[in-house]
Amino acid sequence: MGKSKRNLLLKSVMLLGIAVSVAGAREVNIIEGLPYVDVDVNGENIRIERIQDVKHKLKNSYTKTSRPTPPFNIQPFTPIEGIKTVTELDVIYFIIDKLSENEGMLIDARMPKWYQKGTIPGALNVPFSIFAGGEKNPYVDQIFTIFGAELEEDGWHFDDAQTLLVFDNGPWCQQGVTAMKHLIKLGYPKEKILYYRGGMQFWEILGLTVMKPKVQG
Amino acid sequence: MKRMMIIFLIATLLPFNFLMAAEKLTTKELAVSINLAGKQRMLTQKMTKEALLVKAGIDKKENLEKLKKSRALFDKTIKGLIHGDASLKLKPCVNKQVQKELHEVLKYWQKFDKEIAKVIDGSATKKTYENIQKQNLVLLEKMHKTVVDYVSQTKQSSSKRAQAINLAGKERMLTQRMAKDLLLISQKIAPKQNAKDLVRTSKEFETILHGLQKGDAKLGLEGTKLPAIKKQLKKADKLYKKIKPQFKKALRDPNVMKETISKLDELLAVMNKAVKKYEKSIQREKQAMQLSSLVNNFMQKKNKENHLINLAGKQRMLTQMMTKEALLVSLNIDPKKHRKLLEKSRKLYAKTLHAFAQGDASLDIAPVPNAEVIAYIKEVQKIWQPFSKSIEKIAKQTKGTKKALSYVVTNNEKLLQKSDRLVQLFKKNSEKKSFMEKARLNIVDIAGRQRMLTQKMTKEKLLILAKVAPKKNTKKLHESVTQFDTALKVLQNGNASLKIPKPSNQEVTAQLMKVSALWQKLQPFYLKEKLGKKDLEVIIKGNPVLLKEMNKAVHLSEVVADY
Repeated sequence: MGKSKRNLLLKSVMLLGIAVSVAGAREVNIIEGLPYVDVDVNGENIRIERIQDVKHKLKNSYTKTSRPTPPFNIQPFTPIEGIKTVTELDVIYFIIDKLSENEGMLIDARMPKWYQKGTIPGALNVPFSIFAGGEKNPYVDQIFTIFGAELEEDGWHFDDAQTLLVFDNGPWCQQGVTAMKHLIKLGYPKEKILYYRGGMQFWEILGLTVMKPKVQG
Repeated sequence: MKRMMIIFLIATLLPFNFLMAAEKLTTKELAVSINLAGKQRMLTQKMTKEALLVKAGIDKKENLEKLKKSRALFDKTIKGLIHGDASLKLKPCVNKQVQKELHEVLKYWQKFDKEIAKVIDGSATKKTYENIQKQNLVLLEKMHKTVVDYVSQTKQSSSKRAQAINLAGKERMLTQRMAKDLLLISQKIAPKQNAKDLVRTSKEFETILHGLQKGDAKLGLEGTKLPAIKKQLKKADKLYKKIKPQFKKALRDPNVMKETISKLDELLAVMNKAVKKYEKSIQREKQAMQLSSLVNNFMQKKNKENHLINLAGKQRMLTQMMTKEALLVSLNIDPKKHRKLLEKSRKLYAKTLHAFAQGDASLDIAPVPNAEVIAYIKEVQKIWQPFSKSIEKIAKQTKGTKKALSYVVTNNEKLLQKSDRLVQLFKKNSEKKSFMEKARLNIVDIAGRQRMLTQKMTKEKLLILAKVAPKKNTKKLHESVTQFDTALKVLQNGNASLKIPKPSNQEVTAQLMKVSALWQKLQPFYLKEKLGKKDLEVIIKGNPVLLKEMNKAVHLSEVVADY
């Protein structure tokens, strides 16, 4: 990230009034001058920060290097033409800029068992397979309404629909890409979808806060 | 965390449709209505304040314009709340009680509006202002009641956060009420009464602001935990502390009055921002609850498919288990125990088969809606009826046991085939589409079939011992052993052509290793041609253990997240 872009991010953080300490007391920051970001998760404040122990190493399944293919093919950088792939900083920027303003939703497209093991604070679980089955799928109308789309006589209108930032386990996981493919097939505009390819694996590798959701059944 | 748990419970217990259909308006539409209805309370006070500013000649032209705008907005909004208004994104209210109250507000508004019109066209008299002074509070009260009922219709009323948003909204109105009171006192309109009202209003403003920040049990407020809202409320607090000491001076000095009114407007804007932040936060919480409820509903349906396939798979195992138990009874090996087990297996098979067609809450099975499957279940039932009778005879040792055993030995594999076909039909009708979902089904099916093979192998061994078609059954036994062995390797190492991935989950691999170790010990006994008494004991004792461990492997392959 260039200096000007980083300054822009910091300025945005200040302007949006998100509680961000600029004090440099921490050793491990998100970026220099941005130690943490606070997220509203159902009225509770969850702080996204990095693990401060510089010797910390992961011990969970995200330390694994190899998984059989299929199904665990490595995803291309742009798996779907027209959908922007984003980094961890973009996710954080999205949380500050879009999520807190209800203009965007962070979508964990993994199956609930994965989601319940830990997710990015503020993410909502919409498992990829819930979209399967096309227009006959009874869940699509309800989900699209929650996303802010409006069903008119001539079909779905997405003018007020929220931007979705979709992620899954990481570059080896197909769940997020499958969810995006379903969404596009059902008419959700590509420009309102972002793909965080790094997913939970990269998020955890960077020591960023993971929360165990209580909402999901 | 406690509140999050409550949300979880609500989300789990409330069906999604209930949440969506609490009102015929969508959540988004209802939120717009509540927000605008809430704003109307503030407008009653704002209009009164602006009329008094006109009367006092303070920025007369500017305040006259403001009054016209406030009047037009109140009028448009009240009509929009009743009939709908696309430009305000308002849908007509569908709740009868609220609709009735809105008409009542409209009636009072039309009366109040006549007085406001007089201020605007310059024909207002002392009486006009007296009427405005009297009527504004009645209109406010009526509007407030409507807001409360609107909110209660959304099932928000029990939430402390909904109370916070409601009271933060009220603070907007109180800023305007304080300004109005100051003007009424300064213009000597019921000064004593309005001075009391000012004290009461400012006290209420302070109490609510404190409650919003720190919590107040009496007001039903828990105090916000969100830094963004905390910051906004602190800003309001700081500003209010600057304004309050100016009240007395404002009554003496018109310039201070003008400045105080302007600061109260600023306070209104600050509180308005806080309300918006609350609204956004609650809106997100609602989205989370609705999605959670929806996903929960979806997963329950999916899990039922897995459960159904697992139970159908278990039926295959029961066909072989019954035959094995029948043979053990006939060979007089621990007959009491095996007669009991035989009857238990028979009842379970019958109950499960009946449940597939009719549903059974104790087995967590709903009736199968698919016509093809229903027709097939009837076919299975035709074969099952005589088979069941034979098993019952053996279990109860009634007349015709020999004939019954012969029937079981001859027909068990027909029943097995029919039971297996039922598993395949359930799989075919499953909605699972993705690679991993299909793979999981294949794993559950193959691992489930292993359970059946444990019973089939033992049955075949017993048939050989009982000298029932020994050549044929030896051949079959060898086939079963090979099938079990091959399938276990497939489960352990994966198989691309069968679309089964190699498990990477430690629990799954450990469990399969356990099964493999047991199998390594048992396999030679199944293949041994001449079996001693002790050898037979190893099989009879080891077989249920192998079945139990295989069962664990099936369960794990169903439930683990990372296969």
